[in-house]
Amino acid sequence: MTVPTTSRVQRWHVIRRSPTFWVGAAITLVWVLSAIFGDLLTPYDPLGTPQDVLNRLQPPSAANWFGTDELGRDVLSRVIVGARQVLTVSLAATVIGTILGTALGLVVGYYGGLVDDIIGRILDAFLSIPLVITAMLALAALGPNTFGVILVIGLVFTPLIAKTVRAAVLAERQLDYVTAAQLLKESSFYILFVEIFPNVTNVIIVEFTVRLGYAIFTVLALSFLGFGLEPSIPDWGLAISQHYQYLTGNIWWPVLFPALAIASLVVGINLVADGIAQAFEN
Amino acid sequence: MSRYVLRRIGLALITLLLLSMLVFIGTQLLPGDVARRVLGPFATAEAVEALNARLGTDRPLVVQYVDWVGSALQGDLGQSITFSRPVTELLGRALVNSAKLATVAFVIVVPLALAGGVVAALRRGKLTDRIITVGGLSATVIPEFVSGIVLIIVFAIILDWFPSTATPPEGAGFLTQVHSLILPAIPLVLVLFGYIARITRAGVIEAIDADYTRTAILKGLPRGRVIRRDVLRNALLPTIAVIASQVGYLIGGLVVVEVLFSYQGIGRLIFDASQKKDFPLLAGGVLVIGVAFQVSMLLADLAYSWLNPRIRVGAKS
Repeated sequence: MTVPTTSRVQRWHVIRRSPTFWVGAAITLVWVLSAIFGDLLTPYDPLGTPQDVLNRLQPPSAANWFGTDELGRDVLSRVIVGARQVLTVSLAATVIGTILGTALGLVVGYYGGLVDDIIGRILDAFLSIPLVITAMLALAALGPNTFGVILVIGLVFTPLIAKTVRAAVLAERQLDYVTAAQLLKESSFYILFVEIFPNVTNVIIVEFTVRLGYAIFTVLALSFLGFGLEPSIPDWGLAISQHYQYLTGNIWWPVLFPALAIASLVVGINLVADGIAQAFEN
Repeated sequence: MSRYVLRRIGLALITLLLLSMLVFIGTQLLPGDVARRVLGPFATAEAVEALNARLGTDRPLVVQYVDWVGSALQGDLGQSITFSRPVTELLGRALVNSAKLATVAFVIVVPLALAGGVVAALRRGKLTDRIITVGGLSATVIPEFVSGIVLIIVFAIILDWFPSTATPPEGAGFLTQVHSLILPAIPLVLVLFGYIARITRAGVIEAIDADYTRTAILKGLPRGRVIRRDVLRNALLPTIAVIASQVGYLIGGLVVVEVLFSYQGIGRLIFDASQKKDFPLLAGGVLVIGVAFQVSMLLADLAYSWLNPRIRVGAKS
């Protein structure tokens, strides 16, 4: 088993020398840490207290570095804790999509034929509508909720990921080790999940990181549009949609800081995804 | 060539048929009792029944679907529940507005991204290339409402160069309309820039590495002439066709941008329809977007095969 070890070393070499990957990883780590330990870091209670209302829409100051929002809550505290909502929802959606998509892609790629054609056409139909609109359609029908957002994004990702995995399986199917396993009369299940699956994990890892970026993009757009959230949970997209009406009154802090948080998170995640994709593709 | 065109059109039609089923499932099946969804939990049973009868949602699903698709083919998408007007009339007006916004975005982004991609490819691996590639990637992944917010803060509020809403006053002239659409177009430009520049860069690099370019250089032709005649001509024509396929992504971005800049386009209309549970309008809007996407993909594919001499000539023989 020297071959995979060598390529793993080479891959690590490419990643290690990529400055953009490390910048992305550092930014992402900051947000992951604030999602996990956010409650220990916030200077004030992000959910606010009844007295806060007396202190609403105050500009940034020594007491509130990022100012206060329309209910007098500390913007900095809500930005720190807000990472949790977007990261958990996006991660859950991407994990669902990756598991279902991988299983579907393995089966479709291995058996091929009619199932392959049907899935291809359904995928095309899905792709004719932008993800945000598909999600809006489903959430209008099901009623907005966090679980619905996770499910819709996960289900839309399923055929997308299946398509990539399928292409990788098609290439693997031609190789000698699969023929050997077939001649040994191994079960299809064994061949798919024990023989082929380990050889397409690279593709799945790259697909997962790229999709995670898309999921974050979509979750934030949906929360900005007001779909699928509980208003009490600190959320960057929701914070922007609740406060952008105040912009004309020169009250920019409850909007600008969540916007910068979003920008840094998506850029960070995508720099990581780009670094991983380059390492695996070269 | 004509066989390819027919096959391609046939595939697009099958996809649209499947799409219409998906939209139907989303707007008729998923909500369960449509009238109850629209009227809410406190409406009386008689009111719900009456609305279901008026909307035709009390009939069997297959009948409803066939009826809906049949009318849609004749240009009738039903009545909007909230606006009490024909869906096609509302969609038509919104589409014109969205097309204006999309045109402004394309006019800005296409020359910019082509130039960026070519420069990055010619400076491959150097600092300029990294700045354009990483900058483009970052611009592509930032959601439109985030860049839109920053633009509004800087250019509409602090500098006051542009209005913060995209809708121009009634009867505004051409220049005023364009002026009010520039700020909303920039978030779309940023998202498209990275993608188009990346494809252009890849195309140019492929052409630079091709044997014909090496031959041209070895023949002693001047570098500028090789780049213009061999590299750019081979790389850019297919890229221009690829740009047409970006219409789909653009529509997704339009929803957010139109909501942020309160602009009455198709994205905003679909957003309103989904919030107010106006299922006929929602179904019509999503269907129209799907058709627009399929048509633009079809045109992009045909343009690509027509612009690329290898495919054009190869298909004839």
